Amino acid sequence: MKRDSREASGSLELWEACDPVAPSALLSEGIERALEEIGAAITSRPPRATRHRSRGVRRRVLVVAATMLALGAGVAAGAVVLGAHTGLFPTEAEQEMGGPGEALNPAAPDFRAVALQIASDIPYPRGYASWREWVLKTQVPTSGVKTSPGDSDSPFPAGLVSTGALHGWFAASAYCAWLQSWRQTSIAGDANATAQAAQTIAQAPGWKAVTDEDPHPDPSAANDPGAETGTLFGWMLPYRDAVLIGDRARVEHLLATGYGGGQCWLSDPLWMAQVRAHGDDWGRLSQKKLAQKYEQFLANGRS
Amino acid sequence: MKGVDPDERAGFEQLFRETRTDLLAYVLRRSQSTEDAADVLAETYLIAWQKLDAIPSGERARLWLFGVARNLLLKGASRHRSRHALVERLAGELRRAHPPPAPAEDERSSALHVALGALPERDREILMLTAWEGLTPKQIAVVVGIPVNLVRVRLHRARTRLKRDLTVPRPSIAPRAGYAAKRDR
Repeated sequence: MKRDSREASGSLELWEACDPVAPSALLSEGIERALEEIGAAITSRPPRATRHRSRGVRRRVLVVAATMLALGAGVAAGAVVLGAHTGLFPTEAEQEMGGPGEALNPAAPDFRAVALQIASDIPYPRGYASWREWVLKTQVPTSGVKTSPGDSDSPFPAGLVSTGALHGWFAASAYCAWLQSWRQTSIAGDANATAQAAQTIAQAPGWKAVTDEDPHPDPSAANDPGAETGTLFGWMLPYRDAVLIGDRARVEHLLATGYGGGQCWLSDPLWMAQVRAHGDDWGRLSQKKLAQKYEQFLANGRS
Repeated sequence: MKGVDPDERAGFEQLFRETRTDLLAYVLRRSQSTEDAADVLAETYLIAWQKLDAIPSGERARLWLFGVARNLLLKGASRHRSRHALVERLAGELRRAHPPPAPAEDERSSALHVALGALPERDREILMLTAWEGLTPKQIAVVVGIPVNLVRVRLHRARTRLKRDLTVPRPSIAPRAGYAAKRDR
């Protein structure tokens, strides 16, 4: 994945050059003076305005927006203790970015229990319970949990997470776990377990967690042609199709190449532990070489 | 003023001084006019002043301000714009010091604008935060309020698409409204 970033860096550099704003032009004396006056006008007002319903819809909307941002920060700093349920629901635009449903506070003491309740309708194959925990640890870490080695000591960003997004992360994780289970049981010749895995994989694109965010998963959706795997969960379908015809080599190829935005790499705690253990050595590898590492990882029974 | 802790005031004033140019650039890139940019900037700091206790410390304070400004920008035309004289004055200064950008001069820049305009809004925003604000995925996650891994996935997809669109001939697509290329028309 890092290779793609390097390949596209030329485009980003060009884009940087196309920045419509020249920051140096914002340092003119006139702008500085106007900003000083605005700053002085703001601090001449009483701070911490109290909220009165009579202040109108606009103010209430802004307070809610600011509160949504502030909630996580306050909790992360240990200043506020609230439950995971915030009672706040994102706007349509915010849904587009962060998923549908209620905004949850990942730093709340009851967040884990709430998250597991949300994920309770998503089955994981036997032996993959750690993958569910991995979602909680990596996708929505709470205060004090580092996202990866080398991160600063600061806790996870103080953002809220929607129930829809969280549900979707569990669905993606479980789906990848079922793919691994299907592959392993297929190799082991356990026909019953393989059939059960295949059945679950076939049903997964219809899970509520999936359809809430992506009603029509499509790997080549015309409405989002820039995404290499179409709609949000469109990447599931090529895996499913390969499983349903028993094409293990195809499934392994998709897994090895990180098809689906690397979702099945990110979901696999054992693989991510290896990636992190090798640090920059693997970070400098091309996508092709990293895929070879993953093939080796699979061949070694994911160890 | 009664009720204002001198340390809090000093802290806010320092935050204002340290972040105002970055924040001004941020809102200017995403606003349809200098008036809108000046209004969002003033509103953002007013919210910050009224929510002093909620502002995180250190670097996260800047990101928090970006997040507040972003929410205001998302409201777009539904926001009631202030007509405060100081906001109008800042807008005037911005027009003088920072005229609307000239049309893209070369073919590649033009192609880039077309490619950017064709990106989904959510992906373009993540690219803009990366290329123009210089934010890392972790910082972007704070600003837009989504998990950092989702930022990384979207950034990866957006870069891939941008690269493809710049190498594969495509029919011209008018850039979408909402970012500074249309400013001050």
